[in-house]
Amino acid sequence: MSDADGALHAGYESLNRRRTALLALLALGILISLLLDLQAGPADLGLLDVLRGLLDPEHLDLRRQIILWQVRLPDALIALAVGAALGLAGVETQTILDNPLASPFTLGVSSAAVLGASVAIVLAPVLTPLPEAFTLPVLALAFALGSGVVILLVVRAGGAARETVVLFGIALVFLCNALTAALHYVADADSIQQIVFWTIGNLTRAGWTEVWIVSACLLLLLPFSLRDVWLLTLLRGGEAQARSLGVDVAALRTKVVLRSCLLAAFAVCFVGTIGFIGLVGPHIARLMLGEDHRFLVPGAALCGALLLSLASFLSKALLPGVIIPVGILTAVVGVPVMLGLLFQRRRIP
Amino acid sequence: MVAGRSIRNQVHAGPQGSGVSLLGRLLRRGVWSGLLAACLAALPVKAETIRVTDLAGREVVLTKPVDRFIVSEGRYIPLLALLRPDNPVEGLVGMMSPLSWTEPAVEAQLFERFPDAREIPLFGHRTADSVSVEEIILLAPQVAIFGLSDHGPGAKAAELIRLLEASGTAVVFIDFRLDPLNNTLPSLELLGRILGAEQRAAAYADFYRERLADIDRRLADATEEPTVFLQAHPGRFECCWGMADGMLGPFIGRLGGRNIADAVAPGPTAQHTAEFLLTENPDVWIGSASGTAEEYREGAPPVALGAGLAPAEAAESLRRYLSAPEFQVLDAVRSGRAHSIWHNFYNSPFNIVAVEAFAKWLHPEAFADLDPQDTLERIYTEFIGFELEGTYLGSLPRE
Amino acid sequence: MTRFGSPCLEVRGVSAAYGRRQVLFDIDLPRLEGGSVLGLLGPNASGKSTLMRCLSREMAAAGGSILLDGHEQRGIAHRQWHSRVASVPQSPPAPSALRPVELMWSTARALALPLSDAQLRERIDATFAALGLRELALAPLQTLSGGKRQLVGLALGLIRDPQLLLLDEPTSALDLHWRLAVLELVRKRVAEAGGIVVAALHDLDLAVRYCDLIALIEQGRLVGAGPPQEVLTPQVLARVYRVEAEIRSTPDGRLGIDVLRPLSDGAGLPHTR
Repeated sequence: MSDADGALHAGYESLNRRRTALLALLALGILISLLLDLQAGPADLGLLDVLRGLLDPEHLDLRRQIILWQVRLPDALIALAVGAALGLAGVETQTILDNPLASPFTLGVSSAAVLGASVAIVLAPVLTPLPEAFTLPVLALAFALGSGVVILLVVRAGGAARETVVLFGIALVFLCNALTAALHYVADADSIQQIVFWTIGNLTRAGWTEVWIVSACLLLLLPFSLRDVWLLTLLRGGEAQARSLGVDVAALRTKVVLRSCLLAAFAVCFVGTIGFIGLVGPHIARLMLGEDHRFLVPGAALCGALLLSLASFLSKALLPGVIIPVGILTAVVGVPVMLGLLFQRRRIP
Repeated sequence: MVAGRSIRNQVHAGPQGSGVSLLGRLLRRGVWSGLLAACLAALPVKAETIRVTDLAGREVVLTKPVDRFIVSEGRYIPLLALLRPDNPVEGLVGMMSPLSWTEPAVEAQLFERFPDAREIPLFGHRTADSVSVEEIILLAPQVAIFGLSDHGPGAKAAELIRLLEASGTAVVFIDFRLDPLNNTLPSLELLGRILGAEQRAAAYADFYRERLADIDRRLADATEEPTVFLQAHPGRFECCWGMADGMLGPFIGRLGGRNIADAVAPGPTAQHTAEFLLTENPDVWIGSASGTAEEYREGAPPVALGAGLAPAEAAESLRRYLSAPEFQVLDAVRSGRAHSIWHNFYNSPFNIVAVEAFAKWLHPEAFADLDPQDTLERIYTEFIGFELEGTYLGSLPRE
Repeated sequence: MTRFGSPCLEVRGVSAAYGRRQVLFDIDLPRLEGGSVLGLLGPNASGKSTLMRCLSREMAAAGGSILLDGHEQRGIAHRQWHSRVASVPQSPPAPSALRPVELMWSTARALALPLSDAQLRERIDATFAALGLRELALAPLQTLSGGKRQLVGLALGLIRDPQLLLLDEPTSALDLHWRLAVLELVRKRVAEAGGIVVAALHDLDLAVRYCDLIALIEQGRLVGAGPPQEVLTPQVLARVYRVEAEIRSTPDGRLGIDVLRPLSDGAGLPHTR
């Protein structure tokens, strides 16, 4: 190999090493954010108490144990799980639709979830044998998955053309919003307030059950996403290129839509529709890690988790004594970070 | 300790001289037994476990006495005053919203007589979602008293209830809003049991039942079944929110009237059009006023009642609202059968006043000598122990 | 570069349709042996791209058969086919932050090429070197001109050392130097390794320079197929391309085409001098 060739591959290797390091950095960031999140809150449970309480629960009195293990830890962990799910779904959706503005919500999943939640709150149906507390998440999930099924059918029927998917997603969003508005109209003030609060997004209602469910969904679907990283990278070279290589773009699109809808549906049904994570997380990951999906896919999940964890921490720490709904903060945290990265004019990674 | 101190003082102020030694020894023994008696009296009562069923149908186990408890809303403080007149807020370690939200005048009196009440921490704002479970847990209450359907966490806040119970706080639900006709007295008696004030609770319950029985007797003589529209928050929202199956709505039917909202409203409250009101043309119009004195003085639309308002001002506030053309054509307004009632009776154990007021307004002849204002004053002075300030019932001024 | 045995491509009676609209009618191409370059010519919308898609297996032919080394196309496993047949589409790789070298590795992995990492590295280097892309290999595609990206597209085709190389308008975005250089390279490779190339071309001059055989397609039908001098006559050019042209022989024995002027509708044969 000539010198120039050596330089080429050396360059490539160092690029990959740098990206791996960035992934490690993101993971570290998540750890730090998790600890910040755990020590923030109205109760006076500081970092030292948190660490000791994690390693040796008996060290804390019963009440502080409950606060740490039953209130703060599930909330912090679900921030990570939901953030990762949204980031993962977001990056795949953006690649498969070749649209940097796409997010898992583009396909109508979030609007359908809001509709399901509104149905649960306004009509309050009784779904025996389900315990009453589960009615809302189950309905939100059912509607979200239902919209996913509709999108999938459209994808398969229409030959999975990009434009068809996007347009149908938009149509679904409008339909669900209209039906939700109709429900608002017949609801009383209390119910409307509940719906608004749920829609904004709120991590505090989640307990360990919800953490396990969302994490299980994420861990079950992640391997499938990782298996497709080469195909997704190829797709970035253009659909024509991918097709000329024999990539079944329609099948790939179907699989991605299925995964994204599942992830997004499970992510929002417990915590509400937290916006921006699925859009900004992948973007930040792209700016940091480039288009090689070997790094981008896990990177987007990590970025999503980090963003939501930071937002969760800030929601408690920003104004003392006040808990700001996390959905408001995700826009405030995510967008400036992304703009900052864009304007720094650094070398494209 | 007070007894001990006074005995000691007497000893020191006792006789001088040698007789002190024998007398002194005898007296000193008396001092010690007196002290011992005093100490025994100050020992805590043996803890007692009781099992209650709350208004959500839940079986709850509590240990008495209850030294630390929280309530969801400050509006229940007058109820606490009824049960423990010596110190209404003793043992109250936190609440979501303050008393000033419903009764600022009473809160002012409370702070004056019991300055410690100012320090009671708030663990939320005005909605169930603003409640911070961490703060409640750290307040370490033995009992959390929530309303089935007030502005605080309801029976559906399963996660919150589970966390509180896990950290050693029993959760009990009372109700004066969802089904006030049936739940008012059981809630009162439940609270009396929990706070060791059974007698006071029973006294008020007797009073309540007696007034109610009196009304029922006279209802038998009432001949008409007037149609009624019960409007919530007149002047605050677009016309017209009615009360139907909840809050003060059921009172209408109980008192021999017909609530025109019942036929069309699905739940406790619903929005009706002005057209509906005009078509139905009810015999009686009652508005549940939620306007404050400040709003009245600023000239804001909400019909005002409560602290800081004189009866003439209350009447004027009502007249102003009903002077709008869509109300002027109503029979109820034209015949002077339009009244306003203090909105917060919708979630209050003192709703007997609303019952009496409605009875009088629905059947003026049968209840001509009934005086709900007097009943209200009696409740405040005899039971709650605070001064009644302001106007809580209003009617259109006589032309 | 590996050497193939003696690949051969046969295209017999191929028809294709989009839905109900038939675009190719019974196309027969001359049997192509290893080491030959076939130029596919024809005006716009003649069906060239469709034929290319059938050959690359991007779409299924409605009728007829395509045989590679005597085996029916549909009988060969997908992945096998795509590792032996490289199709370079008309549109170059899209501009994005992706780098050429990343795209090369992705292609290699997606095709599961049976090569070790070291061998792949060598092949990537050689391909980039041949196309003058060595310095640009780490540059994001969005910083490369359309022409350079088209060369990257060609590199992606060549990385699998295909027996059959299908090029759809490979020179459209290239400047003059690279237009000639690319076809030189392709020709040379074909001569060395013995593969087959089918190139859809617009430029008649390039076609006659670098192609052994020409197939001329008009409105989905084969007008003629064979050596250039047999297929490209002034009459055929007038009818198919609607231009007046003169054919001559160049000193080095190749065909030279001088396109003189466009013909207006209705004119058939050129004016006699």
